[in-house]
Amino acid sequence: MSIVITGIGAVTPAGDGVEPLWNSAREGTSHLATIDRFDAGDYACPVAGQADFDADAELPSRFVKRTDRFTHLAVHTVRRALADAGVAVGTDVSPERTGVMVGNILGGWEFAERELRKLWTDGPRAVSPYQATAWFPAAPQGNICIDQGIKGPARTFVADRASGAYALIGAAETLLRGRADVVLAGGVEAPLSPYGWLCLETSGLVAKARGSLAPHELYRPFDAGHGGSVFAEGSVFLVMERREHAERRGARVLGELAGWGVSTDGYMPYYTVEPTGRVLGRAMRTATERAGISDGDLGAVFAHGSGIPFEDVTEGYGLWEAFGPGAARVPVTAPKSGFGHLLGAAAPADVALALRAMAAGSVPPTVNLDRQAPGIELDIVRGAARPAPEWEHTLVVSRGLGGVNACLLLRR
Amino acid sequence: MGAMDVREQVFAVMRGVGFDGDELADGKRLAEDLDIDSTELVEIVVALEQHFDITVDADAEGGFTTVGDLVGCVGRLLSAGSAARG
Repeated sequence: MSIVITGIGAVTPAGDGVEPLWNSAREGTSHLATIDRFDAGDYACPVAGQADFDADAELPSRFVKRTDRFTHLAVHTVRRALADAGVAVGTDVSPERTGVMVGNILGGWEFAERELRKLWTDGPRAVSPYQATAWFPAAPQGNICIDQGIKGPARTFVADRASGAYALIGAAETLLRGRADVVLAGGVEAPLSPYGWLCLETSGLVAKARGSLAPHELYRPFDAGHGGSVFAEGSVFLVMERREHAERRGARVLGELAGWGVSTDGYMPYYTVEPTGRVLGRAMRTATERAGISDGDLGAVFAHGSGIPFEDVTEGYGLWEAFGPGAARVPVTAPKSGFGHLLGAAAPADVALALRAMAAGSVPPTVNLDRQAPGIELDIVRGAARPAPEWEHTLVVSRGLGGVNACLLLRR
Repeated sequence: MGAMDVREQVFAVMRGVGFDGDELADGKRLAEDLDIDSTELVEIVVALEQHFDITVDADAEGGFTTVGDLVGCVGRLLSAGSAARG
């Protein structure tokens, strides 16, 4: 039984849809710039990928006022994904047989910060009655279900930057167990609020601004000058179903989630990861074994590529642990350095990009990779997209603080 | 303040909460017609309290069913307030 992807919705700093994301990734264009959403001048990383999404133009005003931006992004993206797949809940699939799986990390702090300020300055009566339900990380999940009338299994995964990968795995397992016929799965993040942004900084994840680098040069995965991630807001959702269900309704199949593997390697200090990459490598290996492919079949790796030096280095070790010297022959890329690390939506964005890239037979480049960091023995695609006409399988790597590893194996 | 003024001001407050002017009328039912849940009703009542400088005891009011109930309640509280002030 195989799990296929039949529709995608995406709002990212590159625009609304997979095509703008793909076009900018293929060209290696950067969408990272100085933050203008709030005054980030006192932050270590005043640079972000901002999505040009006007909630008031896309959604009813009474809905917008009671929800945070991360819910706006998610509800809109799910609508786009369903339209892309040609699925209407209640018509093409019953509400009870439709599921929702969401990855998110921070919750809805844009809304929450505003209301908490009112709480401390004007007292409890001044706080929006929607504060509690707007903030919590499962808010997008609930509002997607309300918006679409979905009544099947629904869950939110909070697993740092692997949250989105966990959501896709949750969807696949739900479908394999026969608990649903269609699952909307993906991730969303709206980190551009003063407190949300501070959390990313104090967690030690951000690339600190340096005078020698322009804003769009700050995020440098696998480069000798790597110093952390530049984060972005966005939302990516996939329509997932069992292959026979998709074929029965005549759906266009974009690709298959053929394997996945998870492992955990929590390590002290908490913000670090297991130094040998052995445990991460096991998740990579499990994903490929589940897909039943041999090492030579792997056409490319879409790396976690956080640009955090110890994560970059151990990701390279992990690939070597999983595939031995073959790791050095597989093209590896981290196109997210062009549009930003989307946190809870990062892995779904990589899946969307990898499916599009495999269809085009072209591996997009890692933006800002000038001189590869020492100790990373990988063939990392840089400069320009690399033709790959025979490319059939992609490994997507995702990891989070506390040792969360979740890897996905896609088949064209 | 005349009854018409109170109605217009209640409608203005509700527009501020996100309603369209053309969906507001005395006979509109809050739940069935306007899709207002208990949380949004709290938001509306607090907005009315702030606008008119009144205190609404929603429990004592025995629940609101229509927009007209809100208008009537505000009108009563305002006239009680002005009577008390003499």
